[in-house]
Amino acid sequence: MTAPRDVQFIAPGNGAYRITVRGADPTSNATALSVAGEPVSLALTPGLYVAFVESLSSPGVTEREFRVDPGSQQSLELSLGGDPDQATGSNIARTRASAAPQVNLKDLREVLSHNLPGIGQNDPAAITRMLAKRADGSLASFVEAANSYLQSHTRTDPKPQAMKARAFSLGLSMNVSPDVRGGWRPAEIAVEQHEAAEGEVRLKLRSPNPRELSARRRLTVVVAGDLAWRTGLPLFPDGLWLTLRATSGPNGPDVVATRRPVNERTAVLVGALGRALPNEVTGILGAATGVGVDGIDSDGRNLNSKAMAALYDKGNDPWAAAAAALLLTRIGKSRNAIDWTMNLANRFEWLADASVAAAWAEVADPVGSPAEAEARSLKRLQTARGWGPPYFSASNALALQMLTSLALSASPEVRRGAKAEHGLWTRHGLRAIRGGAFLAWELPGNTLRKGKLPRATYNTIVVGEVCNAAVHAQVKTTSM
Amino acid sequence: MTLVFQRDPLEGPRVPAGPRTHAFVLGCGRFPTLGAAAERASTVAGARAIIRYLIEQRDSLVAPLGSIECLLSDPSVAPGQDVLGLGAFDRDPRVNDHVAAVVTPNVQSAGEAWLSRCEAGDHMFFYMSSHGIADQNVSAAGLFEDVLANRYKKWSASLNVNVLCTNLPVTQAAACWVFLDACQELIPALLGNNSGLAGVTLVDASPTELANVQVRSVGIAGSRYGEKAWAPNGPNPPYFTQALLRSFNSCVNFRADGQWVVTGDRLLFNIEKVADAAYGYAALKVDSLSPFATPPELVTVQTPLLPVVVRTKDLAHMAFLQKVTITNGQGPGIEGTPQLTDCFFEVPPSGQQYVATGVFTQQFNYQPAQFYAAPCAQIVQLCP
Repeated sequence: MTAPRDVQFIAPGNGAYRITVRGADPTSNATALSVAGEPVSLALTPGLYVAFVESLSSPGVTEREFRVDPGSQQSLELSLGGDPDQATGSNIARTRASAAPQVNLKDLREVLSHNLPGIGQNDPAAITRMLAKRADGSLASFVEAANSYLQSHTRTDPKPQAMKARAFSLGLSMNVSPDVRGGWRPAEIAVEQHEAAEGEVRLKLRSPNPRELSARRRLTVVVAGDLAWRTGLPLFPDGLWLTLRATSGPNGPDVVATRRPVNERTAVLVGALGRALPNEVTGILGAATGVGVDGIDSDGRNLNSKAMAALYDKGNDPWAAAAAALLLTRIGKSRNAIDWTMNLANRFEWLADASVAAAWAEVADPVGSPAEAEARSLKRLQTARGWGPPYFSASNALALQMLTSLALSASPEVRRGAKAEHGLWTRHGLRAIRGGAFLAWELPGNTLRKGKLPRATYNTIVVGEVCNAAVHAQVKTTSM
Repeated sequence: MTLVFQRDPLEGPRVPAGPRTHAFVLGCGRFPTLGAAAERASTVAGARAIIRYLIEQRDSLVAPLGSIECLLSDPSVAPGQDVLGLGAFDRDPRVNDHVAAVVTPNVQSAGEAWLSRCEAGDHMFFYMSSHGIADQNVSAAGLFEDVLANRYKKWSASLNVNVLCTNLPVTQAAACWVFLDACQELIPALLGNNSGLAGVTLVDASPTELANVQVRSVGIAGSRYGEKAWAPNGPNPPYFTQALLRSFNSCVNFRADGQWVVTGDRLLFNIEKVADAAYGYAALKVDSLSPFATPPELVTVQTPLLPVVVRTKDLAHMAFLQKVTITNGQGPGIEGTPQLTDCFFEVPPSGQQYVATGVFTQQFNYQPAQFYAAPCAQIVQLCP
């Protein structure tokens, strides 16, 4: 038997990546986690392999074939290249609730009667049988096929409006008077345009004043003819990448806006909120705090004092700190950092995400009676909601989970309050757009459906058109 | 009778010792208060298919099968006449094939029996196929046969599956599996009610228990919030259940001991792809019932097979596709005959590179496409 060789994998970027290696000999298969650009080593016997690299920050996956040759015992370094965070497949497409598939059957019959072999123009029964067969298996796959067929084979375009380029805009606003309704005004922000792939637009957004963290800013995206959607804009100290890509939506060309912290360690934390497996979280926290594997206890389960000290030092980036607190909550370890989580929420009261983590910390190791702890937990969630929707999808999910549990409390007051609060939290949840670490939600009704944003409320930073393959945009850059 | 499989005696030690999987399976297709149009034979077929799978795999489950509690409401028979209908199998404690119906008292008693068997480290498996609703609290519930029977608590004959999914880990189970094949239709009457669903809750968990439990359920629904689930007319299981069972063979990871094993994370992220690659069910939309899951292992698979579907980029050209050949360079390759928009194959998860080549009845410039035989499914597109 040939001795295995150490193969060192250099990750494609500084994010967190799950690397799975598969070979013809299944006993050689292996998985490893690379965080923050740290190379990982696997011992592999000579042979042909494929490495699959999954990003923990996005749904992207890249694959690379490589060969381990017999011979020298030197380790083999293999750069995996092709960051899956940047792969086309990593686009976080939003799903619109109204996207019911439809097909014009009359057009379809006409087209099929001319083009499909074996079905003549005078054989409607055969077409009907075929339609029925497809509908019995999967109606929507049939509809998808039929629409594709129609678009490429007809003399009359069955859905011409779907192909037409659409106007879109992106605008920023901030709440200048949080206590009064209608306090949203145009928000200033530093916008830099960076080089991007063809058909894409890549911007770096930064706070104009790093000390002014608490002013709540939000990003609104409008595409003509579609529901506008909105997301909170976290002001990470190093900024936020905003990448715009074209996609094909149910109502025509659509814009996908991918957000990613510029700081890679923060990006790892934020990305891990939704996609990391619990057994990966400790390692990710160790790497994201900068202490690496040294920050993890020897049993591999908990962060040690060094890592906790690094977490305490995250006050200059409250969003990253909140993401760390939420990760601990996610894996049932908020008990390990109760004081820190409470302090974070108290110091950054305006950050709803920190309050959600604190709501879990309040009950993790309750001080006083359980009913008192539950009342404090509920209060944290009420405070959080008062500041508006959280920035992270995970916060929304954890808040709803805690409220569901509080609604079964032994205390009638907590029970009643939790049920009412649950209803208020779900208002945004009902319109939430799926996918991505950042919470986003559609606006109801006909608000802002013309692809433009009013000046009184929005600082429009991007205007343009989106067609099926590309985004064409003018960017209002501002350096500060 | 609700207990249809029992490995260990109700009292006394387990032989051999070790964790067990305890299953609770419900299939409800008979709804007297909703009328004949609401009857669904497929839901009962789904439950039967799941039970058949569990019994067949009873020793391959990572925690061997310990018990199955089962309730069926079959629209093809009168109330009180429901049978399991799977033939004879060992460790069946019943004296005949009768099973109890999916009505509120039975769900409560069978649910309590199911939970009472859980010891620390066991696996808990829940499956329900029925009509379903959702409330404004984003909770999904499966309906029982006696839904609407209580005119003052119309929807109380239901099980809040989200709450079950969230709270089940406080049983100290090492793994919790919750599958719901039902719609999540929004009911206007419920949307205006802040207290939400008043259905059956099998497990209560205090916030403190919840904050400290380190296991999270793998919970998957065959529909999305506010949307419908789909099933064929007739005796076949609903589409999600079909895809779930197929995924139990292909959503695998390779374990260090040389075994292929189905894992929670593979299931969470890949059932839709498996449904498309195995059956062409591109419409299937799956949702997680629990935002965060611990990725446990469910079952070891001796011979996993990945579904592969090959399609032309322009689906209309499938009409001119005569055959597709896939080959890994060893042997003659595998030929497949296209159906309308799909050409299906199955390959072992060897990680090997395959090449798919199409033969057309007319001149097209489609190039061969490469893919890797990597879990959980492959959707291959031939491009010009």
